[in-house]
Amino acid sequence: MIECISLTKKFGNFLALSDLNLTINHGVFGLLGTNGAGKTTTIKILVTLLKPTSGTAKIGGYDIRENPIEVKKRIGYLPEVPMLFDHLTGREFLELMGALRGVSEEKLEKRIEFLGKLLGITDYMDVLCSVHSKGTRQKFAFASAVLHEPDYLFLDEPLLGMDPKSWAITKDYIKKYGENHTVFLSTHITLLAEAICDTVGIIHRGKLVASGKLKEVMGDAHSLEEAFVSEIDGVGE
Amino acid sequence: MVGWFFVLILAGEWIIIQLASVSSILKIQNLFPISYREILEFALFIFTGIAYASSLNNLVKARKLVWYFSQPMPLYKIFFGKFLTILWLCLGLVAFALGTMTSLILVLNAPVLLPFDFGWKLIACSVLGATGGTALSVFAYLMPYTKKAVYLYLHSMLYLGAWYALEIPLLVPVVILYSILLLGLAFKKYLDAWNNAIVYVKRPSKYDLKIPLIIRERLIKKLAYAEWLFIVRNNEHVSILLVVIFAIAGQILALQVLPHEYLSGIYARYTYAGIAGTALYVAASMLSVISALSVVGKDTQAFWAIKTAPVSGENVMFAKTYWVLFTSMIALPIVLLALPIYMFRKIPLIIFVIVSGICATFVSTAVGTWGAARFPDFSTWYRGSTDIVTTYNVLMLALVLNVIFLGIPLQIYFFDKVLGILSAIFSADMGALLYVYACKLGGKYYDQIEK
Repeated sequence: MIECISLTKKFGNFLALSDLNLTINHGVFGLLGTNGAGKTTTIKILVTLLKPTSGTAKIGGYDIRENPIEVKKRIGYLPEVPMLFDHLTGREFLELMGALRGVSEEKLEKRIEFLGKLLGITDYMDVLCSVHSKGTRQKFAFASAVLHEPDYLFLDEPLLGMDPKSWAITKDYIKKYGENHTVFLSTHITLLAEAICDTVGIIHRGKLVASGKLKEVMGDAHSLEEAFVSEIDGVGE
Repeated sequence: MVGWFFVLILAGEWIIIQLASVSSILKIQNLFPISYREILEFALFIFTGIAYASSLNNLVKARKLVWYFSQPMPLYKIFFGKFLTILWLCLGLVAFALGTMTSLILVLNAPVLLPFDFGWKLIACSVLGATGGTALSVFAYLMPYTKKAVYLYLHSMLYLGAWYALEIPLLVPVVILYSILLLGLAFKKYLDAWNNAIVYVKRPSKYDLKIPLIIRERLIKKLAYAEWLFIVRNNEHVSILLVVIFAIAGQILALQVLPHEYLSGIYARYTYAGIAGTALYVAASMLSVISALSVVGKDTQAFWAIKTAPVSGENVMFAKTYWVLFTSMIALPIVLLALPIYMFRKIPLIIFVIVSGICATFVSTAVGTWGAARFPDFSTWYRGSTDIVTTYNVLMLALVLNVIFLGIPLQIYFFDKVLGILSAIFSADMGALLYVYACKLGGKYYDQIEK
């Protein structure tokens, strides 16, 4: 379970996240919002890259402030801008990520082979990350996030830059992964959220303005996009 | 801080003026046997280095220039526009140095010992340095290697020409024309170099570690291995070797130019220690302090990858500085061994300097490790290097600690060799302890980093 308790984050005088309360159980949760709404800040706090100004969060029962290492043991993370280590090849990067997360060498080899085939990156395994295309980097970063099959998967705009085939494969993979794990997905692509999310939340100017099961949030709207625009317009600028 | 640097520069110039005044009063000819021509050629190399670094960052390796390239603007405007800023930088430095020096001479009423033509020759060197450095940054990124070799050979002729032109004024127009030609060639090859620097596909060689890693934990081993790959794939091992060679050569050169006839007894002892200490400090600064200082920042945008892994900050700092410690522990004693082997050949002294080198390694790496986590700089300007003020402050701290850790055993060694060696071993132990604490403290800072 992911639990956000009065999570607040300020950057100087700018309030990026305001009193966020949220509980997420199994399944795929989609956090929607406009640019600069606070989606990435929320994810960064949950994966311990940022510290909340006040409030806290618990992941799998572990407090992100008090037990960050225990939290990190249970998570996988794909950042919005998935820069990799330029001096490593794709395989070396994945091997490093696997070792850091305690995956045994035997299992690691199998997972790299499986994910390489699934995402179509086998040919780029022995090429330096510095020359990978944006989409390929995204795929390697995605592979590193799911390499150790974490209980909680945090994905920040996971399909950016991917080709249509990889888009479809990754989308299906996330949906299937959410059947047995918890996926926290941040996106502003409502079509994606509508296709794979069980529950969604809408964040605007750092405040959660709606959350619940997909159908509940959609209400009478014909699409999630319509519901999203309506919620944002309802809050006003 | 800018004011402090200004004071330092003025103090440096004041020392030069005082030395010149003293040698003039005592009528000492050639206190330091270096000719104006050699000083000017040296200045030319310095300006080349400044221009090269600036051009590399703003012209050859600047990804952001793609925004300019996509505009309806001729390429020469971009290239020569950037070149002009480099030229202004070099000329500005000359103006600052000559201006402050002239003011000091006027204020102190000191004798003017430099010939008049030194000034305009220095200005000419700054222009040649700006041109040469810009051209060098382009030629260095040409491919294949045969082409690069040809262009670099042509480039090297500039310095040979400048060397003769500093003595034969008739050659000056030829050298200026040649530098313009080089700049033209650099412009012609600029886009090739830019593309090579940005997207050149390097074949990643395998670098299996033959040297055993004295690390048991798998994740630390993997992290340290990734750091090793960073060193070898960025050719940093070549830089390490060059630093050692220059530090040794510098000591031998200092001995050559040292006015031995004025040195005797206690002065000689401290002078030799001063030369070795200076070489050690320069090498330790580059190999230990600055290298360790960049270990966190050089991850730049990929910082998330390790930060979100379940590894304690202390382990990360240890793994990331492992190779800095390892390479420095070999390099620094070698640097310190130059004088004892070249001049004295005494076993106790050799043992003392080896232990002192190890001590300096621990102390310098400890300071760099702490600084890396305390002042991480994720800007991508040069492999995680911190800004100049932070680097300066950390280097000063390293200097003070090294003087304490090495100075006391040295003083004891002058009185009693065995006691001196024992106190050096004690200092090295304390240095190791300092490194362990630096990893712990650095680890705490690392855990607090928000990005």
